[in-house]
Amino acid sequence: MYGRKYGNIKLTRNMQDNITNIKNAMNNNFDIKSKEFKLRGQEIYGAVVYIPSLVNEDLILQHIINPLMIESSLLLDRDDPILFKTIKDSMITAQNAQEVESLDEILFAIMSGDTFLCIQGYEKGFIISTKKYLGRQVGEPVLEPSVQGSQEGFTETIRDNIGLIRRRLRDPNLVFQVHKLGRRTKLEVVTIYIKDIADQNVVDEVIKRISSLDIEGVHSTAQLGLHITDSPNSIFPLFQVTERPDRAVRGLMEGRVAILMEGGARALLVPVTLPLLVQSIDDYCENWIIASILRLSRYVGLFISSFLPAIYIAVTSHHPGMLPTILVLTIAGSRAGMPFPGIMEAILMEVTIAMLQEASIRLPRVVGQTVSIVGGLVIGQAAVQAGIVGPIMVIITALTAIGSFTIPDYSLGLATRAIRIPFMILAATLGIFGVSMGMLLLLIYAADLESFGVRYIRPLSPYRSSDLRQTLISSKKSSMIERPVFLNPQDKQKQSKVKRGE
Amino acid sequence: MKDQKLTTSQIFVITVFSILGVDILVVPHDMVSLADQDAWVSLILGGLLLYAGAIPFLYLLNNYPDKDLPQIILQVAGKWLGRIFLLPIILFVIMYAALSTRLFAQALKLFLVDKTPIWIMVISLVVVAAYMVYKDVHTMSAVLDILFPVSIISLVILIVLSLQNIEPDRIKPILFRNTKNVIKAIIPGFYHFAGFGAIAYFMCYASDRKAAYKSYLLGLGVPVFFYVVTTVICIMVFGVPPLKVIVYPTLNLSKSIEFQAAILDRLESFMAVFWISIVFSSLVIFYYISVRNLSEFFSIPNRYGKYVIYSHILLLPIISLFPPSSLVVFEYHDRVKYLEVLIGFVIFPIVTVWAAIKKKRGMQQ
Amino acid sequence: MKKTILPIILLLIPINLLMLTGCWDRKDIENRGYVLGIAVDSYSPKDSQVKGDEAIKEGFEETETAIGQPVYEMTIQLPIIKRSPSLAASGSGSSGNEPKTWQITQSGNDFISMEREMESRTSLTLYYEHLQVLVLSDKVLKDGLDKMIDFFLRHREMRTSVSIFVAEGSAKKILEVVPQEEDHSATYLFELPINADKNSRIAYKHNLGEAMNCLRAGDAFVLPKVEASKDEIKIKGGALIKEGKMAGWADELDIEVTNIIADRYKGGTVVGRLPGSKEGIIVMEVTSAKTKTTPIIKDGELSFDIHVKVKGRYAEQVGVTSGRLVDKDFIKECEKEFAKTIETRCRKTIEKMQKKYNVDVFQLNRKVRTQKPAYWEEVKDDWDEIFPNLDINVKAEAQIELIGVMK
Repeated sequence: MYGRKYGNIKLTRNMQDNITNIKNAMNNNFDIKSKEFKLRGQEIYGAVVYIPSLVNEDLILQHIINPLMIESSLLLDRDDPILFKTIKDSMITAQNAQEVESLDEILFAIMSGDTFLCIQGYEKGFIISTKKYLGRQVGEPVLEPSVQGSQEGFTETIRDNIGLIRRRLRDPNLVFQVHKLGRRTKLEVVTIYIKDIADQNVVDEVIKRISSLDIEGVHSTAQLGLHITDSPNSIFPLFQVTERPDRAVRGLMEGRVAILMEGGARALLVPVTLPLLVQSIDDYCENWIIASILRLSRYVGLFISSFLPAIYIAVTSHHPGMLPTILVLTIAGSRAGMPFPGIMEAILMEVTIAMLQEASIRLPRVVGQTVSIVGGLVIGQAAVQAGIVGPIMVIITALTAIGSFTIPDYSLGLATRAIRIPFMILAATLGIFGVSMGMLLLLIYAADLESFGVRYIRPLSPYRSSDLRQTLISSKKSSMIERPVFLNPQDKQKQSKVKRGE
Repeated sequence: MKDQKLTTSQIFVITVFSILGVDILVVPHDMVSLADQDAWVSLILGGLLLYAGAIPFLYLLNNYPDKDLPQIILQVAGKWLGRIFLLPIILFVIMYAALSTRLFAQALKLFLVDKTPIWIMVISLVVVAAYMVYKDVHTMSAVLDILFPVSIISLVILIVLSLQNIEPDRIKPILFRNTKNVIKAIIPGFYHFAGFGAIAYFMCYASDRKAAYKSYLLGLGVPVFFYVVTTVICIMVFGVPPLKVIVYPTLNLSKSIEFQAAILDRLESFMAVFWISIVFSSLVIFYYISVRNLSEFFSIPNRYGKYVIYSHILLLPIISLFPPSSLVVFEYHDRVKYLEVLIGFVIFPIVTVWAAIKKKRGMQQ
Repeated sequence: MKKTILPIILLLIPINLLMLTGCWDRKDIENRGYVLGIAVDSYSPKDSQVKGDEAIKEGFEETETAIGQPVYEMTIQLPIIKRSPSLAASGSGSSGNEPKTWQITQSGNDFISMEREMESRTSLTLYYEHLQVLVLSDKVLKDGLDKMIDFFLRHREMRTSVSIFVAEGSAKKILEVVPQEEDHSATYLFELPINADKNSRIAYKHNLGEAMNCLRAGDAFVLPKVEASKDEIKIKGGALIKEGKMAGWADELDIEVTNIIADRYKGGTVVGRLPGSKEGIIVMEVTSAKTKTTPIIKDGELSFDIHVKVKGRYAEQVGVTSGRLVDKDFIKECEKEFAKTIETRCRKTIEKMQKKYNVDVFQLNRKVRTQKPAYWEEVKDDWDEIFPNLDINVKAEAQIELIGVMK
């Protein structure tokens, strides 16, 4: 765990030495508490070591100290080898007691909120789980609100999160695999999948990547995602971060792998593809026609938020012939006498919007409102009046911002922001030709990406009608029975029919 | 865990894009110049010729399931003769790719960006295509998969919207004292389907060969259909005499459409964007083929393959910017197609027959 | 990781090049001059009477020609784009009488030079994608439409949907009209024929594309003629174009017949005498019409059968104090009467075109070419002699489907 330094130090028979060793290893911090006590009626000393802020002290009193000090039986004999087993088997009433010998394990246990019980004269001790689960109550999802879906979101406590999933998916084949992550942080990371659905290759790959990680530590789930992603340079999110248990469950049932982390109020879903990121949990709550329209509007939003300013610049500054005459004259009228060229105007607005978005995240909620009002209304209005920015550009920028809010995935929304300005520059240099070349580049780039072995633009390519029906538009009930094949689900029935890669 | 094979639908898409290219912009003009209002008949017959060429070709491919064309030729015809056979193919592919790009850049200059120099457009197309070829075949095919519906839908929209301007009388009289010209135009009609051999470079990745053959034959029909329909529509909209002088009739066709009650009521610049996806797709395919050809010709090992790709970034623009004027480009573009006949009717048959003989001998032994 | 770096660098090089060398076609939307209309007159030397500012302006309009003398005078119409007053920072309201368009005239003998000269007189880059109308004076047309149209067909920005009109006298006058409803006379003129389905006295073929088709094929056609007052433009009849030159004027009734025979009759009115009355007039409002023209060859002689079928509603009776009850028999009679009027009118126009002008404005030659190709091969060179003596039988049929709210 903590490397050789502690791994080699074993417990000794002398309890005092052991306690000193532990305390020394933890730099004698003030918050490490040890309590020594005498087992009832015997000259046997015991001690517990723990960190009060992490443990439930009631548990220690009731289930360790109380039984040992007061209720310990007379059977205890000095030097009796059975003694140790007796303590474990019939005296400690705590949930879980585990024998340990090395300092390494003990340190980790204490750090994660367990209690170390040490008995004088033995070269081993117990780790007794006494974790106190501190943290938020299950609250509403903040970033991914939904109209029809459940109103529960993941919390920072992994135990609650697992519960949230378990409660929604009572399948014995639901597998949880725990890893410890981070050279220093040592946090639990749990990979979750349904054994008979998920593609074993993906599962193996996920586990391989997580267990082969050698990093100091991660603090959030999305950060973990970046560490295990296929290409860290990708501007598109190659993993789905969700705070919705129902979405995580949905993903599990599609044959994907969910990853939870202690302290991260999100779940990672891998593999993910671009069309999957545009889905929202509300899609499944509506009639398929309505849901398809909703989804379509999200694709439109995605397109608008990425390309609208670029297309506007290209059309107005290169190809005014594309617009109807009246519209051209209107736009020209609104821009007459503007000091900046269209591209500068657009970049100016874009930077303003980006700043507003950042500011409204940083600021406390109460002030945030003011900022968005001041930014949106006052500055916009004043800029138009002062003749720095044309009114049409304000509309375009607003549409772009609105478009980016239709995208259910936050990271994907940020990705559209990232490509906006390069596209504007392309539009200003080469017009629509430049924009289409840029789109081709982006398409090639996206098509080459992979998320855990699944091509990022699947199921758009290769065509498979049921996949397309399910992901692009929300399909009819009948085909919802099938699982999207592009994620290679293991489901027996499908496996026999469809070959891999099909 | 990349995709291992190309699916049947991907073979179909590649087939369509390997033929459907910049030719769609000029096909009505070229064909009408030769066969007047019966140009479409020649095109259909040219399409039949295409099938006649494609079927023996499939036989050849079937004998060498995991090899692509240059490998097959080198194996069948031997090291030296094979290289001689390969030479016209190399020339044709690279010239065709370069000149198509130039032709398209010229069209773009006319219809989209007037003052932008041609070399900028040629180089950007080639560089993006290089980026594409730099990725593997499967990524390429995935990109084509996405461009395919876009291209086809835009063509269909163009055709449907043009229907409001047609005068069906203009296509008449059908085959009146014109049979000679029609027959003469069959071979030039066939020229426009250049690139049907491109599939030989992709078939070795096909997952299900039997189905892939079918989708290949089906795919050949799509460009034939669109070329014929575009030609018919152009004749009906413009009439024969103007068509003989319009350089890019298909672009003019989109220019003649007034699409009322929409934000973009003028379709032609909008359409030009979709032409980009069509031309780009065919450029990518030819680029890839050319890279494969040169790699095999000079026996360049795979790990140096990328340098062949980079060399094309220079090679293609140089060839495509070589012709001094737009008229010369058209001339070269037409001449290059003679090579296609040489390849289609001399080299492929020889190699096919040779391969068949070899196979027979192998079986006898 | 390392694999991705090289292509990225390769991509960055051209992008940087782009940024450094600049943006060739970029021109902000307000810096272009949107040419809405072009008028072409033939050149007339300026009289030296005018003084002062007018004289300076006329001096501008002259182009020094490198070869030959000026032949044409081109006038373009540019919209004057001003910042809309509601947005202006200072509340200086603009008076309503400011001109909304700017006509620039230039003389010369080729159009591209004239255009370049104009560019030296305006700060804007002239842009023709939004060109709506091309007004030609009859003098230019008589000189030859095919002689001057090439610039407009070859220009990359002009589209085939540009409407062509003919003005008797000065074409520039038409553009100088300050219309009541629209801001620009060119837009106003462009939108006029949109009422063609209410009033079929507007020649249906009037755009650049059609003109090119007809000129290339050597067919005769008709272009609408416009007349202007100070604030109004009216489409009145048309100019007959044959072999690229103007052959004469057609009046509005001729145009209507042309439209009928070309099967482009979209709607209009047919007037007839009230059966059994001397003064009464009955009117039919045509809602749809179908014309079938069939060339017939009998004993080596070509003749045409034109069958017109119009459908419509009984619209009005006028000139009688109390009309007859509109019943089945009456409608039958009316239908006959309407058919008769159509036939007479068609015959009259056909006769006029055959005998007076010898212009095959109905494009009957196309029918022969497409339907009787063998015969066409023989006669195509002497169509001019054949057309005036053609036997053209017009048969009309009217059908009244509705009679309005009264019997």
